Amino acid sequence: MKKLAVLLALGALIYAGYFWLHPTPEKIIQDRLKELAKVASFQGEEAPLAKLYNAQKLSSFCSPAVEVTVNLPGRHNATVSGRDEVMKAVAATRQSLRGLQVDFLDVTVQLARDGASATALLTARVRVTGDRDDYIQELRFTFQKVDGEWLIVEVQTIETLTLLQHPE
Amino acid sequence: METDQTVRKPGWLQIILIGRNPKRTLLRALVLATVCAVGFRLFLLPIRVEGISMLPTYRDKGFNLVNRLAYVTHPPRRGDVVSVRTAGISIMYLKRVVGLPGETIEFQDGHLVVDGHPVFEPWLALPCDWTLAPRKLGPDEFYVVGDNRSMPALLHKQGVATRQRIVGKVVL
Repeated sequence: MKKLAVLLALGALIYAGYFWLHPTPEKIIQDRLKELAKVASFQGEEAPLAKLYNAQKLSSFCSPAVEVTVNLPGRHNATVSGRDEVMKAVAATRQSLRGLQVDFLDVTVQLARDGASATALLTARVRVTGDRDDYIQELRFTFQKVDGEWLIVEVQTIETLTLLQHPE
Repeated sequence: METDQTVRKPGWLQIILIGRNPKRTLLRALVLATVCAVGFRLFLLPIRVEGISMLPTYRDKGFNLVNRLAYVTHPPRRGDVVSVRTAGISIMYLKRVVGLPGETIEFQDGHLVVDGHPVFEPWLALPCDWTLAPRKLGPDEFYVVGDNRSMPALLHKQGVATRQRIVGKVVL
């Protein structure tokens, strides 16, 4: 009985160890999103060098042809294309804020059949220093595997509730 | 042959903290923890209300529970306060159902109008001046909105939610 328990524990350890050494694409993408949220967050005044470093680090998550689409009918519509443009927009946003805490919650990753692309659905919670309420937004991230690395190719907003339109 | 077995009586502190039989107490604690973990995840979901969109019915920072089994036997009804999930249940919107599948919903000068008829809403206490164009809801769509409509419509999180997004009914 004791031998069996030891064998089972050993088996479980090997199993966990294997997945730790060989993470699934879903796990890799989830980890990347966690890191992205961490890099996007900042507190207080950033030194110019730190600002540049963080902006560059953020850009390393995206493919050169990344496209960010904000489509909230009646509220806000905008599309930013290309890594450089996205980084400019991010840098401008960071400039105007005193602090930002980004969290990605309820992340579900679905791998495409070809294994070379994946979609991640999540809820982003953004806390801006000085603001009373959090900003909540559902997002869809599309990833593509480029040279063995999962890069963001598209970010889209998802409307949780579709608002009635103001009469024209 | 005699054995000298003295049974040590548990002290009063031990009795208060872990009972006379620690194994049984541990088992009870495990069962209770399991029941709470399963119950508060699958049936009664504890939530903390944040924001003022449901004033005066629900206040900011209040605590509540969501009954996930409320709509097993029947669909949400007009007037029900429901929680609407986002990508998951970590963050949900607390809203009132005002439009049911198949109905045409609109707001005229702050009044809810369903299928062309104004609907009296006894839960409203704050003034509203919204005018929003009519929209016919699909067979699986509900219109949800907060009770505090004193802010501009665009600043108030509201809209069409599919049945699948409605997690349950608010209990308290």
